[in-house]
This record gives sequence, structure tokens and C-alpha cells, in this order.
Amino acid sequence: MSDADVLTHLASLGTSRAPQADPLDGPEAAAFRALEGQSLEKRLLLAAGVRAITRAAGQLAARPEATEPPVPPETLEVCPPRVSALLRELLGGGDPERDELLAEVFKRLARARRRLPPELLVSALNRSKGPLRASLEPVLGERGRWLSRLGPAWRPSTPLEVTEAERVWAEGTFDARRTALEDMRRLDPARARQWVMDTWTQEKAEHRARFLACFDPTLSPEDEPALELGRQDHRAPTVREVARHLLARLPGSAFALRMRERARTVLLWNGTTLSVRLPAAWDAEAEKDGLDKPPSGVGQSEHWLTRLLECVPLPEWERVFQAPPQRIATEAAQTDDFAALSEGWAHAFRLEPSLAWASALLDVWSAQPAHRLTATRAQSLALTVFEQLPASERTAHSLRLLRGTATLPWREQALALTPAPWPRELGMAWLNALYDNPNTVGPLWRAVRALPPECLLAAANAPPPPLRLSAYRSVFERFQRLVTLFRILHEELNP
Amino acid sequence: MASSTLTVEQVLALAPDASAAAAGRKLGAASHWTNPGRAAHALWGECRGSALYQVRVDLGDLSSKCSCPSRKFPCKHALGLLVLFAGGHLPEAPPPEWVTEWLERRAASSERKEKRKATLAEGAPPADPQAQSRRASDRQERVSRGLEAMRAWMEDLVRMGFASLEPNTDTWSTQAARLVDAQAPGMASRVRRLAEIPGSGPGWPRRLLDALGRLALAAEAWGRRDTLPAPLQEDLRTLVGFSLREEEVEARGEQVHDTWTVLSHVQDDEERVRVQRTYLMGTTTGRIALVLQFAAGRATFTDSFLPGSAFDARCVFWPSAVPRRAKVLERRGEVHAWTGPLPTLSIEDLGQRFAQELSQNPFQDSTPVLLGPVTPLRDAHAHWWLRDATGAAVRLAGENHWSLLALSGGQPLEVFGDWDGERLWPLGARVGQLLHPLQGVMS
Repeated sequence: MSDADVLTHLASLGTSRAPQADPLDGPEAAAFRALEGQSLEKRLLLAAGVRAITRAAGQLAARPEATEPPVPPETLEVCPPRVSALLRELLGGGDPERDELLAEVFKRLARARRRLPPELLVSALNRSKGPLRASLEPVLGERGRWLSRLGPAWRPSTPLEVTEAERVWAEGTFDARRTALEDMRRLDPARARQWVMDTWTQEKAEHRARFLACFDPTLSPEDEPALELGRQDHRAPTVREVARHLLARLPGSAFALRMRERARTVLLWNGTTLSVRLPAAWDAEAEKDGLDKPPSGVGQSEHWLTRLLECVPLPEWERVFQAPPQRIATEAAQTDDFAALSEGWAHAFRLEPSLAWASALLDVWSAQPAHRLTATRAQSLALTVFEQLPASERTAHSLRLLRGTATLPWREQALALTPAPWPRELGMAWLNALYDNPNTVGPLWRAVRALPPECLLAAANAPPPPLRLSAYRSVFERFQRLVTLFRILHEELNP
Repeated sequence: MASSTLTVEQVLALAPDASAAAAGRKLGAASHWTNPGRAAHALWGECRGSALYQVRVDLGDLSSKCSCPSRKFPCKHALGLLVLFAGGHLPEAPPPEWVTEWLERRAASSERKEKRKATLAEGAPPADPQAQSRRASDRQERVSRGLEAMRAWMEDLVRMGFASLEPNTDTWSTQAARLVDAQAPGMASRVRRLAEIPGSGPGWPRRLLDALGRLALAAEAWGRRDTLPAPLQEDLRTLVGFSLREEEVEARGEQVHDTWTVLSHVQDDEERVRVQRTYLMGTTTGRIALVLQFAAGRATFTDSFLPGSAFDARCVFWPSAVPRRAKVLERRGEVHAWTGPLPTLSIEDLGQRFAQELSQNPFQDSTPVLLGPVTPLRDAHAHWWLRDATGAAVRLAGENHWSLLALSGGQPLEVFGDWDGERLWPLGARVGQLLHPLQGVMS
């Protein structure tokens, strides 16, 4: 309290403890003297009041030393007022899918070469954490980037620094190391592969398996030696499993070639019927390739068939059997091994999608009675296939699902995987389906985002939902809100 | 005027909450409306919801009435109609009967109010003048005793010393309650606010002493109030907690006619009684008026104000040495957006004006000001400032002024705020003649 002024010092200590007042100057001194003869406490309080008021009246302007760096001139137009108003609402509101909607708006703004208005920058920066931050970056404009450099919590995540990533890989926790590995796989797959091979013998089995799994998104034939290391891992079955799974996706790998060779000896076609002939046991090498004892709950032949067939590109069967997929699939349905064959074939779509096979298998699966193929199994098989289809075919198939001419896979799963924007026909079919049964049309915001402009107009003018659907009132209200939002985006950002 | 100068964003600022705003935006499309129209001072339309609702809006003060059962005010239908209006989608037409009736009723009821006031002003004799003056002198007596006790309590505080103050002591609330009993609620709330000072950061003993000193001066002044100039006596009475009836204000207060623009509109919901503080600035006189409105429970506020809008009106100020508090007496014409220039003060002018005001009314804590042009900046200690072209600067109160910095982008702008002689609380910023409210920066 040594730096406090005389009056504050006196009041803090208490006049009973420090009865002697030190000399004062300024207006408080005049007040203090004028009150001579009054109690010390009264003089102290009134002098303090005089001082407070004279200080407020006589405050001198300060001259702080600080300058922010100037903002470079903007290169983008500011976004239209209606879109700003929408954004303000989204940023302030508690929409359940706010982050996804914001990301969509930011994406469209970026495509239209617009930026956020200054008054929204702070709340946009505050609310954009994680992946959303990256979508915000292109619409910040020069002012937003300037601001984000000044605010400590708003700096963009810096691009991966190789030396920093090396350090994390060498010293980090398991999760940090795996993230560093995933990042490095995107940047430089060979370096990432070398990391894994260099430390292979020092890692725990579980970690070896999960590091190998990071190869999946950027898998290439150059990865075969590293995957071979995993396939021959004596200590850990899970590592071998991951390695085989990835090797199967490399049709030219030695492993895949061996498996295809074996598959051709197992699946036989005599020109009219399909039969399966499995050996009683495989040799040691085949066992190492995964033709081993099945996990509990899976039959021996199912285990082997799935593992073999998922390594064979589907068109190969057409060539070998000299028969169209439709016939092969229909005949397969006659065998006792149909479920296993289906599983193997569904997974073979990862190697090479085939439209003919897709339609053949989906037809046969949807025609099976439940005791041959359960509904859940059929759904999951169909989804595995659907995921691998090219975009245009997914769109076409979703239309069939909405019109009821196909039943597999479930609509909402298929729609979620159908790329936006949808063609008009699909959009209208979706609207009809919504008015038919709001329960089966998947996440609203995704669908509305994918609707083309003419469908948005139709949706905006749509009558209120039929009475029998009154339980879905909140669904329709949200639907209308989303339609308004996307219409505004469309009108303002696609001139 | 073919279309409104109000923007969609401005009218949506009237919404009581975000869901009403979203619903209002949706209803702002022509397809939801049957026979909407506008005439001088009024909008109307029928909106199809669960039933057909009749909606009407008075453009003079943006008050509205709707036949829907919603308790929100304004309801989404009224907001939708305003959005439609802001978009310029309303045809001019003669108002239907259900609209003119409403407008007439409104006019009649305000006339009735006027008449009642006039009767009062003409001095209809109070029920019992003797009893009334006895009550008045009783209260003066109680206040005097209450302030005397407060003085003794403050002297005790400095006698024992702040260092001996217990944390979380209830001495503040006890003393405040005594002042309420003494019918000095204004002083009571000041004493209650003292509780926040101890331990509130470096320099708190000085701030506490300053606040106590000001209270001591007020108590001292009360003892010789008869020697003060009449306007300052009014300020002292207000400070102590005497309130004036609105008729008294209208009869005695200064009346100013101007085009008033809304610079800041803040609602405080924390107390049991909700308080709206609205700052208006006369665009020609430069006068700043503070309109306080109170509402308990679900009650709505009488006057609606949109930041950035303006309206022609006669305002009456509460009698004071430095008139500040005011109420809107009579509006004329329609509410419209304000994008014209406004008189601003430099930092040096601000110092001089506050000194001048304090010399008239030393009991004033702060003064509202439109400063400009000034540039916000943050120094190496993370302190925020507003600096003008001469390099002079004032400290901003609070720690989070990033919105202000974003609005400025390092360029000068105009800032409206409340200056207490040491720090400025920013309440709004004007960039390119557009007002941006800065709510929620008071942390």
C-alpha cells in the first residue's frame, strides 16, 4: 500500500490507528483545511469526495503507445445484407446443426467470392472452432484475417510443420502421434510410411494395428512392403488382419494375386449352375493369408469365402465364367453359401465398382425371403455396395428408392450419400416423400441443402402438411425455416 | 414515401427473442398475407396461421396489435408485417374499418390521458393538502435521520480502516436496508453497489474511498439543501431517491422539440423489475436524452425504440441542473432510419463538457457522449483505448472490445458511450453513418 495516496492510505489503515494526517496537496488539501475543527473521519470523507469529483472533471487525456498494423485493402465484396442477417441469426441461435449450416453458408460465400461484414467477424471467429475454422478462413476478408492475428484465441491452425510433426511422432502421446501420422500421410505418404517402418518393433501391437490403419485413405502400391511387414506379424492377429484388409485393396499385390488364384479353385461354374468346393484344410501359407479358423459366431466356409471373394475384382468372374452378373447372382442365391458369397462380393466393390453387379446383387438381395437373408444383413450389404458406386449412379438409385421401385438400402442412408445438388426429379421425389412420411427422408438440412432452386420454390409454396401428419409439425416448421435459408442463399449468391 | 427507409434488420431488432425474429422473417413474404396495405402512419394485413389473424402497426411509434393469442410482443405476425413493409411490398390503400377503429381508440386513449394530466396540472386540489404536506415533512425528517446514520456508519468504516473489512461482509446490505427504511432508496442502491468494490482489482481502496466520499458530500449537501440552487436541489432529491410524478415532470421540465435518433437501447433483466435504458440524441440540438422505462413481470414497455432509427418528437426533461433523463411526450410522423451526420465531440471537448457539467451538478457520475472520429486500439498491457487524430486517448472500461476493433479495422469511427471521468463504456459505434449497437460488452 506504499504507492497509495495519503487519503487512501489513511482510510485503509483506519484513522484510529493513524491519527496523524500527512500533508496534502491539490483540491483535497483545500477541502481538508476548510474543514478544520471537524472530526478527522468527516474531513477525510469529504476531502475524498471533493477529490473524486475534481479528478473526474480534470482527467487529462492519455497518450498510449500502440498501433495495430494497417489492414490491407479488401479484395472481396462484402456479403449481401440478407445473408448477413441470416448469418447473425445462425451465429446467435441454438440450431442443432448450426456448425454444419454455418459451414455450408461459408462455403457458398467463398464460392461467390464474398466476405463477412465487420460486425459479424467477432462472433463468427468465436463460434468457429475445429473443422469449421477452416471453412471460415476464405470468407474472413483482409479485416477478418487482421483481426484473427490480433486475438489470441482466433489464430488459424498453422499448416503442418515437418520438424514439429517429427517431434510429435517421436515424443507425443499415442493420439497426438496418430494425428501427426494422418497429417503426414496426406502431405508425404512415403515419409509417413517410413516413420511406421522405422519404429515398428518398438510399438505395442494395438498401436501397430492402428498406425497401419492410417494408410487407408491414401493407399498405394508403394505401401505393399510396409503392409507385408504387418501381414507377417507373428505376435498380433489384429495387425495381420488390418494388413490383409489393406493388401486386398491392392489388386496387384502378391497377397491379392495368391488369393485370387485360390478363389478360382473354390468357385465353380459349369455353364448353368454355381457351386462352391472348399478344401478340408488349407496349406500353411494360405493359413497365414487369413484362411484360418473363423472368429466365434462365423462359420468356417463363410469365413473363407468372404476372405477370398473380397480380393477378386467383380468383372473377373464375368470373364472367367463367361456369364452376365445377373445369372451368376441368381445362381448364387440357390447355393447354401449365398450369405457368404454376398458378403465377399459386396466388399469386392472396394476394388472396382461395377454397375451391372450392383444392380444384379441389389435385385437378388431384395428378392430374398428373411430366412435366407435377414433384412438387417441385406441393408448392410446394400449400403456397402452403394457407398462404392459412382456419384451419378448413387443419384439414379436414390430416385428409384424414393419412387419405391427399389428398396435397398434405406432411403435416408442412400440420400445422405447422394451428392448435392440433386437433379430436379430427385428433389421433387424427395418433397413428395417428405409429405408422405417425414420419418424416412433423412436429415432435413442435408436434403434442403441439396435441393435445386426450382424445388426450393416449390417447397416454399408447399401447402401445410396433411392433418394426419400433425405430429410432425415441428419437422415441417424446421423444414420451412431451412427452405427460407437456402432460398435466400441461392437468390443472393447466385445472380 | 413509397417504401420504408427501415431495413429488415432494424425491424427484426424489435423481436422479443430469436425464434420470434426467425418466424417474423418467414412471415415477411407476401404469400402469407391477405389484403395487406399501408396508409399514413399505419400498416395492416391479415396473416394466415392456425386461423386468420388481423395485424395492425402504428408507424408513429411502431406499436402493434394482433388478434393472435401469442404473449410475445410484438408477435411474429406483427414482425412479419414490418418485414414486408421494410421490403417495400405494401401497397398504399385506405385502411379498413378494423384498422381505423384501432387507431381512433389509440388516439382517444392518449387524449384521455392528456385530459387527466391537464386536470392535474390545473391544480385540482389535492385530497387533503394538510395531510400531504405533513407526509412530505415526515419523509424529509426520516431521510435526514437515515443520512445522518449513514454518515456515522461511513465514519466508522474509515475509523476502523478498509484493511479490517471482512470479505463477504453484510455491512453493505444492512446499511442499504436501513436507507430503504429511511425512504432514501437512491442512496440505498448506491450503498448496495459498494459491496462490489472491495477486492475488485488493484486500486480498489481508492475507488471505495472515492465512492464513500461522494456519498458523504451528498449527505452533507442534504443537511444544507436549502442553500443550493433550485435545479441542483432537484438533482439531490433524485439522488436520494425522491421520484417525480410524470405530470410534475411535464409541468416543470424543459421541453425540446427535435428529430431524435436512437443511439443505444439496452435492457437489463437482472432485477425483478426489467429496466430499459435508451439514449436519444437530438439531431439538430445535439441534446442527449436518457429514457428509462420500467416493467414488472410480463408487462411490456410503453415505448419501442430501434437503434439507428429516428423520429420527430417533443421530449420533456426531468428538472435538473444538467437535464438528462427525459420522456417522449408527443411523436409526430413516422419512425425512419437515420443515416445523417450527428454532432460529435473530440476527446478534449469531452473533458471540458464533463467539467462544465460537474460544476453545475457535482452529483452526476457520468455523461453520455458521441466521440469522434476516434480509433480503438489495444496497448501492450491489453488495455483498450480510443484515440483521436491529435494522439489524445481515453481508456475504455471492460476488457472485451474486439467487436469495436472489428468495426474499425484500424480506421477512425464514432463511438457512443458513457464517460465517468476515468473510463468510457462503449454502447454503440457509428461507421459510415450506420449505427452498430455494442451490447454485451459490459462484462
